[in-house]
Amino acid sequence: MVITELKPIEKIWQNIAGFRKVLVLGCRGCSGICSTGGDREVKLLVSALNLIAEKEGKNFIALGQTLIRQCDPVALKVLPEFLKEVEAVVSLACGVGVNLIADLYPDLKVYPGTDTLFIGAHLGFGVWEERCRACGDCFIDKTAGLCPIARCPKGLLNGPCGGSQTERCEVNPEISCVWYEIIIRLEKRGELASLDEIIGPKDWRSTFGEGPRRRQREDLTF
Amino acid sequence: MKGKTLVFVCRELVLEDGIKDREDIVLKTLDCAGDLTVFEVLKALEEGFQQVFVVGCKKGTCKSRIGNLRAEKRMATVKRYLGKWAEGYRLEMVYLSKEKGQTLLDQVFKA
Ligand code: SF4
Ligand code: SF4
Repeated sequence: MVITELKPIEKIWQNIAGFRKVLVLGCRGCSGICSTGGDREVKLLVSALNLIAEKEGKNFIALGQTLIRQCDPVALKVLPEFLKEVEAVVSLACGVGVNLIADLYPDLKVYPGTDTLFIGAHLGFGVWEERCRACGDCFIDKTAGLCPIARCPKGLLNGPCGGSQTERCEVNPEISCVWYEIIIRLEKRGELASLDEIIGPKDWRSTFGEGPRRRQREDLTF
Repeated sequence: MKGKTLVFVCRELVLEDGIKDREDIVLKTLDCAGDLTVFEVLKALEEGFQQVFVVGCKKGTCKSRIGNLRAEKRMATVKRYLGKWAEGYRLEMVYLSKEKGQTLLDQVFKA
């Protein structure tokens, strides 16, 4: 899922302090699941913003709503229903949600309430870690399902580096060397020989593209 | 509103006589200090309380094992969440022994 983190409240407030009525808009997708922007977090932010407004002596009210997703025009269709007298929206979705609201409602002032961090997995209560950089040309069939682009600080396609003396990464000893893990797994799978093949230079056009990357499925579009 | 101090207290703790009659303290009993939510504390501040305490059992004696530690984290979360706007509030965790002899008032108003 897309992992997000709430921005410091000072930064959120800076953007909206001049308005009188603001909608805090949550998302029950990834952002809700990683406890950044679901129903509970919307309630918290609304309460905190109203408290700050009172302390600052502002004529201000924050309201809250949460959508099932913000990355889909169908889910965003209901948004105008919540905008009565609302001057600005703080979105607690990932950056995709903020962008799509800005695309669909060009007259609406929408501000991000979160920082979008990475695509990651939930490893335990309150812990998420990056697992994929969405490079657009997945090759982890060659690396026992572990992604060195996301998990090796040097992003080595043919590792390990010379610094991998133990199971730990030389750059970040907090993590294990993903190339160590790859080799152990390939060995267990009897696929170590697959490393004889050098993985060639990566064509990063599938990652950085020319403008936003786009996928269109002919079987689904009319 | 009865007063400016709100005290959330675990029901395992026996409170000293007279505390319930104090005009300046509002008491809310929780099944465990760990039941306290960040939202409840924010709501209390919105309602005008300047001091919010959560009183839990001494470390190692919580019936839910870590409810008291959770409560402490939640108070810290409120402070971190509000950033500079937390200044001026007193938001504290107090650990009390279940044995007699300790008074909540001494602990809460020791400063
Ligand atoms: S190789 Fe690319 S698509 Fe595959 S896991 Fe790594 S970053 Fe993601
Ligand atoms: S030690 Fe391993 S994970 Fe760290 S930089 Fe070298 S190859 Fe990458």
